[in-house]
Amino acid sequence: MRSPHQANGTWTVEHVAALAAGPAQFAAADDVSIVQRWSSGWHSGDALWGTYRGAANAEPYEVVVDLRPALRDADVPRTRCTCPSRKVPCKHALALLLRWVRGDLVESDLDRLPDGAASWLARSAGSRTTSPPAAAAASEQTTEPGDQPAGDEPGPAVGEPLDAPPDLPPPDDTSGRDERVERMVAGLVELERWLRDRMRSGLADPSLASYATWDHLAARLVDARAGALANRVRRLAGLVGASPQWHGDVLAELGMLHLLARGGRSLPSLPSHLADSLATALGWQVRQADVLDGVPEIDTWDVIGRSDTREDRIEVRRTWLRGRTSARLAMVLSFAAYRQSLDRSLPVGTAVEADLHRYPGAGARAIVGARRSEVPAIRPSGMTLAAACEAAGASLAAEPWAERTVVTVDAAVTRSAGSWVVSDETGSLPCATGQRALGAVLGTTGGARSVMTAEWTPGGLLLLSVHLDDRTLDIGPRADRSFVEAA
Amino acid sequence: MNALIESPEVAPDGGDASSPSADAYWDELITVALLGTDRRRPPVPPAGPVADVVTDLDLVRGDSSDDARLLNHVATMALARRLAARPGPPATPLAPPPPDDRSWCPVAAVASWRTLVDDWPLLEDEWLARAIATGVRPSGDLLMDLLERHRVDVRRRQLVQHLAGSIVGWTSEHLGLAMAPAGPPLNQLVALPAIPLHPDVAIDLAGAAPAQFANAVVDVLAADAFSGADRRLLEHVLARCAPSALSDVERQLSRVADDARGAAAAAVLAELARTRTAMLDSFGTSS
Repeated sequence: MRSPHQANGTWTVEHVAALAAGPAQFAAADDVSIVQRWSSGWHSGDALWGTYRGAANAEPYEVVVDLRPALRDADVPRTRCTCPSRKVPCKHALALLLRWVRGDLVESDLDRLPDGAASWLARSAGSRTTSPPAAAAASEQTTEPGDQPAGDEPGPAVGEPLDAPPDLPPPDDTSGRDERVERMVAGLVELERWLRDRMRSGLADPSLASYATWDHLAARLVDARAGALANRVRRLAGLVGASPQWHGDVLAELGMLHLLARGGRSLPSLPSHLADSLATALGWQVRQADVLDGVPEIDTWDVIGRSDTREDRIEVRRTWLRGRTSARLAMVLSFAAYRQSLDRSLPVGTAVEADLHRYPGAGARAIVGARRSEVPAIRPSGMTLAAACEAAGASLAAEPWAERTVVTVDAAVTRSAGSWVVSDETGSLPCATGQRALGAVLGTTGGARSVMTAEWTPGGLLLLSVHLDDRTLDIGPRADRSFVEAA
Repeated sequence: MNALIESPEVAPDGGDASSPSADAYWDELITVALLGTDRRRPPVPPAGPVADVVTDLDLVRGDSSDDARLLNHVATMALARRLAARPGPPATPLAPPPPDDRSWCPVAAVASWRTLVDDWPLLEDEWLARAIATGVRPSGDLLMDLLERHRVDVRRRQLVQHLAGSIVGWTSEHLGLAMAPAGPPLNQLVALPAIPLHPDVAIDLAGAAPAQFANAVVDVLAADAFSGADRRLLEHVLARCAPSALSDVERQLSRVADDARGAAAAAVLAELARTRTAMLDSFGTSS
């Protein structure tokens, strides 16, 4: 398959996904991006244009994308489409961008541009150079950080696609920012009202068994630019009826939503690091460029675990690193839509000397910057389960809404009361691992103690890797290879 | 039912979030949440840090309704339970499997297997035979992948069971995995199954000395004696030829010019030769 980088050097499908108003719109765009639906598709250095055929008797749509804001000003591209949709960008514009990153467009010069599109492109250039606030407003329209298709906390990780194009208004554009804050706060007020209604009517209300109930709430949070919270609500929907103790699991998560909603309405009064974490957990994005501008944390980073999860139609990969000197944890996220590839540059069991740039707040989310050299990996030491609980508690105290953190333990996998547990002399914790990973651990350790890295979740430990003397086994949940390539 | 405006009461017993009374309090919160505050009022928190927090929340926030108070209590208690999570009592370790002092299958060999099952599955039988002959055992992740891959192929599953040794029965018993029935003797099991060879050309090739073999393969390609559909036969020849011929073959095939007749097939066959060589080398026993 052709790499997106072959076509344009920088943009990837993830960038396009980040422009979509949500996974549903991105999926719709993906559907209409097939070549049979287009009678033409061109690209020049600065613009894309094409004609979408649509239904047999329908009027074709002229679609134009002005790339200059993205290529020169690190802004989002401007789009124009003759379709009746009021969404900006519409699915046809996203589809054209998808075709571009896949290398499906034919290179051309602007002479082939239809007249209307050419004049729009000229006006677009004029407005961009003469009116920065307008450009910021366009950015506000076209990219909704909260609506990003993926997200899996801990904390600031929520809803933030890796390498997403910048989508916050410039710092001096306070009007756009204020408008977004107002929308988000209104959404949080509505969320709290919804939660209180649920408390009044009770969790036994049959409507909670319907996914539509949760999806509707999630959609409203997306409208409020709190997409990360929306993703969390959708995950919560999956807990209903999922286990015998689902009432408790759902209630605890509703409590976390209450905490987030309340915290979100009090952001200005919170300490800055807590406010940063919370804002990102709600769906407020940070420009990747801003993260990379921060002071790097230089260390040798051991890659200790990996875990893939499906978020609606996006596969999310969490790669966990631990600093050899600092012992600090970091988490690198990558995202892949259907038929795209997840990041494989940080294999479990390797180590890299690199700059690490952390996102604001107390979360572990980070970006790996300059990589100096790969160094031999070392086997980490494992802690007791009691110490692991302490460590997880400390991590959660810094970021109370986090859904997971990571620990490395020296313990054995065994059974207790009919369930799989991880145990040592200090106690035992539930094992939330699937059969394949359990078999990998048992087949390697024979039930003996070993050093293992696991994600700590409210449901128990999810085993990610087994550290042997000469190798590390990567046993974390892996993306379905029929969905993403080269998982 | 409307709540009365009041300070939360605090039960006299209880303390931290993991104490029995805290558990009972959480259970009671679940019950109230299930029924709804229209039917039942939130319970009184046991005295302790959680009660202090919810008291502050209710008072400072001015949350007077039962539903708002229930949410405050639930959020505080859920957070406290996560922060204060402690291990349960230690569990008895599993009875260990019979000892197996063989060394792990080399990392390179594991990587080789993962490559060839994707690209050159016709080499897998030789990989399994070589692994058994080398006397290594698979790590658990490789074992699970092998079992999953050969879940319906009895002969290969038997080979995997031979390779894994006693751990496979032990693991299967604990996880409820199906075991293949005992098969034929190992020497029969590891014998590479026959694969189709071209009756006129390939059999002669398979019997040739390495240098002759390499030249003959290139000659066959150059003469276009094989159609595209027949390329599979040459692949089979390369999969079964003497390992000592592989380097000659790969070198000769790599010399075929890009625009020469059969160049595409030569590139594919060279890749196969390289993969097989790497596979054999990965066990440290290439010959």
